[in-house]
Amino acid sequence: MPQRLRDTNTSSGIYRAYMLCVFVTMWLISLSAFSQTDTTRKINPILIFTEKDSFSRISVVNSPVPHFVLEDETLRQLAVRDVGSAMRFIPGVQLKDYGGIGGIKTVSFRSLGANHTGVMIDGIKIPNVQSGAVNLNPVEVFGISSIAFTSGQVEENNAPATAYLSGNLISVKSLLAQQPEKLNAQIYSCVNSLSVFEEGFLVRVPAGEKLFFGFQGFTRFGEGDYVFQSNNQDGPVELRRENSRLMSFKFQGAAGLRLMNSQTLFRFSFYNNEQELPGAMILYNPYNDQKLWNEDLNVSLTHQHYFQHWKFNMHAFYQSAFLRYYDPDYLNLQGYIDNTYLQQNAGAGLIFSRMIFKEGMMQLGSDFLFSDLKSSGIGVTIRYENNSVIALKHDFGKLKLETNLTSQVVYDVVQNEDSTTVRNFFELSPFASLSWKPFEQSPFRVRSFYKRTFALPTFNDLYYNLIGNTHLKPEKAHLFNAGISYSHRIKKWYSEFSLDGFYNVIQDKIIAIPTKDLFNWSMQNIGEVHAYGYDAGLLINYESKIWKFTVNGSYSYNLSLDKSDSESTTFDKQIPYTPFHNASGGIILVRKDFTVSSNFIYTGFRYSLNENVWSNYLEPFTDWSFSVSKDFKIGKKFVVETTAAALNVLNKNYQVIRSFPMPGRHYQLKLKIVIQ
Amino acid sequence: MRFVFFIVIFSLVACHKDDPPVAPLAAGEYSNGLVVLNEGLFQQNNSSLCFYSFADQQVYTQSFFAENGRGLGDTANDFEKYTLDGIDYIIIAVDISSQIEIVEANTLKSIAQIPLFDGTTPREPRRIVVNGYAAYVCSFDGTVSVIDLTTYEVVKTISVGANPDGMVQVGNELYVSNSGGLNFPVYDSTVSVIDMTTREVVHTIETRINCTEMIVDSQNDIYIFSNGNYSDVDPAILKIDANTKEVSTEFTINTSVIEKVSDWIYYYDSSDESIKRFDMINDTNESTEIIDLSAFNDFSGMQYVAELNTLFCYDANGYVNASAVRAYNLSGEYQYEFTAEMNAKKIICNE
Repeated sequence: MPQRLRDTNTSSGIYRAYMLCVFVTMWLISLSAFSQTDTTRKINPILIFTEKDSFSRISVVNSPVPHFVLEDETLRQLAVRDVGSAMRFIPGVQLKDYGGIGGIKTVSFRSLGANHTGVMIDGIKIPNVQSGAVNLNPVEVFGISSIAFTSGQVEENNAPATAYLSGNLISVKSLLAQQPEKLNAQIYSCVNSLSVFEEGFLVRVPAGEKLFFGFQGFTRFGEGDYVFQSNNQDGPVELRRENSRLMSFKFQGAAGLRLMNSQTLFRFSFYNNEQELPGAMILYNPYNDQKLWNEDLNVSLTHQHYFQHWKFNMHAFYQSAFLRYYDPDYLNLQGYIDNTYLQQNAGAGLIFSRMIFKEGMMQLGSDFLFSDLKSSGIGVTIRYENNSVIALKHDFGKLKLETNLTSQVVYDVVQNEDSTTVRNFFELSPFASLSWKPFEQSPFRVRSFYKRTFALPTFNDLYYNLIGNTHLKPEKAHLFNAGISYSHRIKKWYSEFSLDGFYNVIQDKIIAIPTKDLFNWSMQNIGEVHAYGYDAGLLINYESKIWKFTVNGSYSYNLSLDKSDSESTTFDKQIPYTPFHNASGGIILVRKDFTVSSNFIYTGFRYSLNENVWSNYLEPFTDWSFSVSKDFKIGKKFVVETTAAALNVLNKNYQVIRSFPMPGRHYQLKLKIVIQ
Repeated sequence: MRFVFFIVIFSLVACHKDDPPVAPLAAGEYSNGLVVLNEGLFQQNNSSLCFYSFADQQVYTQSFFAENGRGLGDTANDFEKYTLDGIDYIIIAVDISSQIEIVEANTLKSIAQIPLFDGTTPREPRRIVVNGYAAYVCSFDGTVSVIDLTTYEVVKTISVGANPDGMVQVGNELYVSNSGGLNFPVYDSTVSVIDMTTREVVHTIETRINCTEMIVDSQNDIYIFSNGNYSDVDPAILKIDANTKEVSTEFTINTSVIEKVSDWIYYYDSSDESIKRFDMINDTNESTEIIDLSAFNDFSGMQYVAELNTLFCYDANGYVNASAVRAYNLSGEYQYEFTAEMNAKKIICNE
């Protein structure tokens, strides 16, 4: 069971040196207090880790790598509707958010971009060979049981070989994929004062003891328009972010079979989305008429089989993603742009795990993938890919060792009108981690890891029309992490602390640069970034029979310097969209079935482009939210869960990405009827 | 313990890098120096004016913002100085924001902001020619807007060809080159001629694909630059004869930047990274190197300022960083330089 993280409520990074002294002092105090034998844990009747705990953030303290899990209770208190918004509360994560009901959300962690962050849903990694980044806005929180984030190595059972490749991984587990004990259903509705509406239903039916199936329907729609403050010739003015209407629905199903030695799960999902794009807020030109359509189909099968000393996990999937982009204001002869893209991915893989030497485990796995992209700009592009892994874990008592070696072999064929291009890639990525628990009685732990990771250039980078560069090399990164963690319990109080320092070197970073002039851009491997920093988190919890109280906070410092060209004015300057200081925190108060919670994220100032000058400066912002929940029991079978939230209480139209203002203060009401 | 200690020291040492940047200073008075128009980058809303003062040789950045409390907009492409009733003004075309800004030349204070939209479709103004009380602005939506500079109203909109991107006045006629640049790979290849009294298109000349700048010599012959298609069709310069008003000759000069210096075309030869010149009266290409630009990172343009008899060359430094502006005399000798802002496009000399 994952341990919980407690963080003190921090403000901005100005006090970081003072803060560290506080942490160190607290650590010393708890260490000395703990030198008495810990009998309190044994006689304390309240279990530390219950399923209904109301902690606002979860750091898995005994994990060899940075590892965070957000369970459904936490997601409810954070008042978020999609996975992208939930990720903001994980220390070290930077979310690129284009705002509004349909804005793209992608995640980067410790200056490793979205192309290094994989997304896995119910054990199947979502491929995106076209742009390399997965948009987290359409992954709705409704129906999700947990979201886990790891950097370095995936830390869960039954992960396929492909999951071991990426530097960072987001793993989403849905309720549909889990075996229900009895028939249960949920009806869900959300109303938001930005004209965003969500409706959903979820039904899970057990059929006998071994079989189950489930269905989930979800729709998100609305105008999504909101006012924001701007300036024009006459002074401050209120503008409206228009052309934001969105209409999407997703229908998913699952069927599972559990036998004595095996589990099989079949999953499918169909998603259809039509939305208008509000576009960048160009000063004095607020008009935009672009539209986007998506249609995705996913089908997958996973099977785990257990033997006495070993098991295997196999999976197969097919995914298709259709995208159409339309701009009726483009001033070419036609008078518009209308591009369509169809991406298809299919794959299958196997991974074996075996216990060795009593305290160890060995894994061997391999996945084969096929991708093809048909589009108006590239012709037909096909990729054959093999991802393999060999992993070893061993528990030496106080010391734990985990290592793995992953390989990726890729073969691309691009067919244009008049030519065929062929490209091969072969990369290896080793990982090693050592964690140490020096004192048997004390939960104090030290952990460290190293990974040499890479990210292949995407189809857009390699083959897109004029700007693609077929000679691109993969981006490489060396990741180092070292950290300590500690937890302590005194009667009804529990505290937990972790501090991780990191050093990442990213080389051959793929960047778009203009070549002859601003009309001719090309993708090049010219970047080198050295990123240093640390993430600290603290959580304090008090629990009695009636009350639960949690305070948590995290703070991250990130210095990411451009080391690409020592002659350039950008050398040794902070890279774009990387704040030096980040913090988040929350307070939760629970009394029986009534919860009050407040959470904030603070993003320090950052630059929108490479030069660290005033004209690129983006202001710091704090997004503070406040929510109230109450569960009403009706009879024995029905529970009505209601949550009311006020979001962005400080009412600032902050910009995460330059020229994309966020909505000010708005309100949300969620209603969920649970039938069991 | 050592680890925590290291972190504390490290944070204190790294302090200076994470200090916020210094806000720009307003110069207040701009009558003795160079006003530079900086285009910025598409959709970054970061066009700006900056000022190089002759008095203290300092650059004052973000001058439009410092004097008016608001940004200039997105992708400002062109500006011109004109005089009306004894007062100097500067008129600026801001392409993606689709606005025309009028400011007073010596204070940079905003006088008027004129939106150029066709309903809700932005016209995207690119180039300006001022003639008397009227400003002619060609926009990427295929129109030339005539603005009355006494009332700041758009009094007429004239349809020309596709994506006009260059204008020049010869006598009472306005020549507009239609590039068709957004129509890749099918470019336009015409020049529209507008009579400035009737404000109608009176003639259309067939030229060559993707034409932009035009230069007039003292004999009223027009030299027009065709960019080619950036792959198999090379750039060239065409001459439009003053009398026949048709293309008389085509010169194969593989260049990307041209500038008028009295009766010469100074152009950039990318094969040996230098500035050379072409004699417009005798129609001969002088192949001697005038200025050696091999030290430039990204030569992006040049401008001759007649009042100072100086040729300014812009180095875009990667196009996403501040441009360097370097001054040379006509013999090619380096004079001085200063750092402007992102993608310096043009200079107006206030003296």
